[in-house]
Amino acid sequence: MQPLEAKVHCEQWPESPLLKVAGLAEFAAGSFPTERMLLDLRDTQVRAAGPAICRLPWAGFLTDGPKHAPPDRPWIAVPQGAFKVDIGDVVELRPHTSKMALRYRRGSNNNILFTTERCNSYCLMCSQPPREVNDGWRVSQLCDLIGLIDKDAPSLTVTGGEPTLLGEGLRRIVRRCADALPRTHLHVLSNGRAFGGGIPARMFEGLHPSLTWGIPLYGDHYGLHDYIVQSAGAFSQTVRGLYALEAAKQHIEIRVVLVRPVVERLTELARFIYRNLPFVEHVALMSTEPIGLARAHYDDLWMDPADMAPVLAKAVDFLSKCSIRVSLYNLPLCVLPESLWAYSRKSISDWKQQYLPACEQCVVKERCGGFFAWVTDKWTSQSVEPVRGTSCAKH
Amino acid sequence: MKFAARHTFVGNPGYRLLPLRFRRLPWDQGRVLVTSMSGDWLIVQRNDFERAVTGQLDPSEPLFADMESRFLISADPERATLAPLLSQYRTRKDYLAEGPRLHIFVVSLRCHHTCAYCQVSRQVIGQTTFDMAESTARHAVDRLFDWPAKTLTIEFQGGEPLLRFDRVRQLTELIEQRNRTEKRTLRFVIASTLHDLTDEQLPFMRDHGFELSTSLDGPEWLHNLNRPRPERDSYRRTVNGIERGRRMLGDDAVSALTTLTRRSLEVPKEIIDEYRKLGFHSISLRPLSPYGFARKTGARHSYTIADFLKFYEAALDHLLQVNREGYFLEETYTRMLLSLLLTPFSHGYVDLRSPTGAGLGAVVYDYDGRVYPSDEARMLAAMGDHSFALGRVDESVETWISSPSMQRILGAGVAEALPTCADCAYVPLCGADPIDHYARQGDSLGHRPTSDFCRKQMRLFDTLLQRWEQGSSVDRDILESWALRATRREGVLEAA
Amino acid sequence: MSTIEVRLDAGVFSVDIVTKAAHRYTDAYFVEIKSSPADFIVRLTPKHAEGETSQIAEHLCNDVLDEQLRALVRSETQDIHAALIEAALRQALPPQSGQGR
Repeated sequence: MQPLEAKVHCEQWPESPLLKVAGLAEFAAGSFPTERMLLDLRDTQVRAAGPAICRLPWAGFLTDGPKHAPPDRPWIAVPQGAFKVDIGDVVELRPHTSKMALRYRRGSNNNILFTTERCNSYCLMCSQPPREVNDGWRVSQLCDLIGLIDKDAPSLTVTGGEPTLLGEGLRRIVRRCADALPRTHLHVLSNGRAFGGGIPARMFEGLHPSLTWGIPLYGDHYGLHDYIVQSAGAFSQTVRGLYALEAAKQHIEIRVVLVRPVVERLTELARFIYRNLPFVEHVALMSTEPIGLARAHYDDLWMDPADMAPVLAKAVDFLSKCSIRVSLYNLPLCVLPESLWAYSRKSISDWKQQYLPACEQCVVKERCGGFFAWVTDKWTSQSVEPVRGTSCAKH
Repeated sequence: MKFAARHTFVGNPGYRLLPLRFRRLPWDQGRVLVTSMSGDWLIVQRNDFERAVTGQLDPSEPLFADMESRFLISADPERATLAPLLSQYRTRKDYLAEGPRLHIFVVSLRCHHTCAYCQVSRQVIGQTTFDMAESTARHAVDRLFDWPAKTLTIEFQGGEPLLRFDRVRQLTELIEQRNRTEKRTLRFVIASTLHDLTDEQLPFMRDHGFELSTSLDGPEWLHNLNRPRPERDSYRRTVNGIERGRRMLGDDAVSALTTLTRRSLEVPKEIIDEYRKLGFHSISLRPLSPYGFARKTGARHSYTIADFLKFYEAALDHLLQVNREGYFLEETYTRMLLSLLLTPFSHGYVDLRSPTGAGLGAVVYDYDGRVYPSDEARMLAAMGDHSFALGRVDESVETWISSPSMQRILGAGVAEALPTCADCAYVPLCGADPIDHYARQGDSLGHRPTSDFCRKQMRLFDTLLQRWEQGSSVDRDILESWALRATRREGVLEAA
Repeated sequence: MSTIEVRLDAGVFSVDIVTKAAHRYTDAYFVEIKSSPADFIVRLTPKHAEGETSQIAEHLCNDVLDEQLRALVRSETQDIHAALIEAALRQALPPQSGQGR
């Protein structure tokens, strides 16, 4: 697992900026103001360019140590092995604690815009337990961050907490993305409850050229869904929110975390989605992330993914026949029947992903999404084992 | 954070019934089909159903959740939402939103054939008084665009519309010219025997994206028997027309349908095999209705609905077998009924709708300038009964909508309000056909126990539901493959 | 061509229920209903020689029981049925306007 934050050495920084790590290409392209860029002096091409380049009004320098930085200019040195940071990344420096955090990683499969720690649901398996804090300051910071993200970033995920709690702030963020990153797809993870009576969904109509909403639904009746999200009335609000989003011409994905009570009614949920929400464009069936609140509810939630296979096959088959795209997330290939491999995606964010020792011998390791970095034995299927041969000639 | 157990999310105990209807399964009297207001459904043991209706279900039973998720019951109103039920209902009825989408232009009554079952009362070739005049055509185009539908299907019929192709061409050009400002989505269909297609007609059809719909009653001997031409070579000419049409317009642009005579009912397999032989992937098995010459020659050629239903079962068996062998072949009416049972969507066929499709889903502009809400109404008029004529092309659309004919249709056109239909489990999926009931029983409201329309519909729904419920997984897959294609198709095709 | 007679307890079933059930048989049978304070006598006479009579009495009783359930459903759902249809066809705006549960 790769840390996203580390202690660093730094000097001469007056404030806590967001900085774009830059090399010669960034300088030449001129996409970002020089004053926001951190010139990476560790890079051989940058060093080869000679000392003159340092005279430009960079925000500061990324170096191997204080000796390598130009005198009287702000610099940052990352201790060996502490933290991976490269040209194109965006970092946030907090000089008073000497900490640097990664806010955007060039080339990563999962860059997020973290909007708030607050949430109006309390899901049993929540991987990001909510805190009641006043973090409205994040909106401005995110708008700033968006300005430093590569224009060719393929996608960003807007997450939290619950992004719609920002209200107009969420609209600002989406609008900023539309302006600064028109070619970047934006996926917002939200429970949609606010649109069931509170925020008008139509404020997002026509706002962004490529926007999708990922909204969880855990059951075909309120008794199950409200239990999973620990909030009475949640099902009703989410469902009404889905209709509001559809009326506002939004693109919608339904996300289903495969905890045991949900899996027990998964085929009914798939039927419910088709009958009532046929405009849904994608359904993501996701194995539980064993972190946060999930750990406290193991007995209520855990089901060996290998035991889910028949139900998953039925649900996937049904949704596919109805022309609703479906994907399996966070499930290693060895626990799935081969007929479902085509639906499995490498979904775990690179920085929290790993393979197990058993995977060394596996012939389909490259195709497989592997495991969460924080997986423990009890959160691992009994059926994990390397695949020795497949019936597919291509693999 | 204290976490609450599952049972605490039940809310207020108890539940209420939502509008529902039920029917004992003919193949298993101990179980019932229960349907919601929007046509979602569940099959339950009758004694469990009785428990449900009398308030005895327990929230912890799976049946409770099954009925709740289909909006047959509703629990705590503070926590439940009926928005999906409303959404389902609107989806099922969305053909109402825009007004009629199907517009039939009868350009001529002239035809080469002398089919005994002819429903259009054709005339002999030389008589141009049975052709649509230019002024009529121009008025009809004006009326066409008075309707609001964003998608318009324009279908040319006859007699044989190719005999007046100049009028077809003129209408197409007038419509497209007007559409430059209107910007609707247009679909052109021509219902024709495809005999004597000229080299001038085909490129025009290709350039305007025409779809061809023709009649193919079955193997050569049957087709020629049903559809006599003086030269006795109707089949050969039809097949020739199909080939030429496919070559110029593409395979997908040419479709065929049957008209079933008494002789046809004896040979379901041969008819289906003929369609397979000619490479069709869709067949329409249409029973005769009591109109046109079919009425006059009735005794000799007619058959009962019971006869048709026997034929249908055999045809369905054979269709499934053909599909099992790997050849995709669907039947259009079957596909529509399956889509009603297995999907939440409405369908593009005007035949089976409530409120009725007549006038609300389709309009017919006859060669003589009279306007009708359906083909059947026009056929009745050809037999001397103008009860359902809407008016003339030079009158306004508002006049037609407020005409006594339209009032008569609407008065009997909502199935949910008709006696016996109102309680039928299939009514959310079924339709009203006041003109059919008027033609067969003399009364647009109709008497359901003796209604051929009802008998046919119920039997078809029952048959398909039973096949799907009890069929092998292979057969279920085949039935589903027909139904789930349906949601991407639209329109109704008629043929000469 | 024998007439079937079915006796139904008037204390359990109403005249509406019995009539609705019997109406279903008017395709193949002539139907006659005689009522007294104690019971209803439903007489079914086949219209055609081949008329099916063997299980008609049982079917009619089943249908009467079913009509009774239908009456129960109707009384409980009549009002909400009309309200739902009106709401659906009114093209009510979705949730944010506070309508439509």
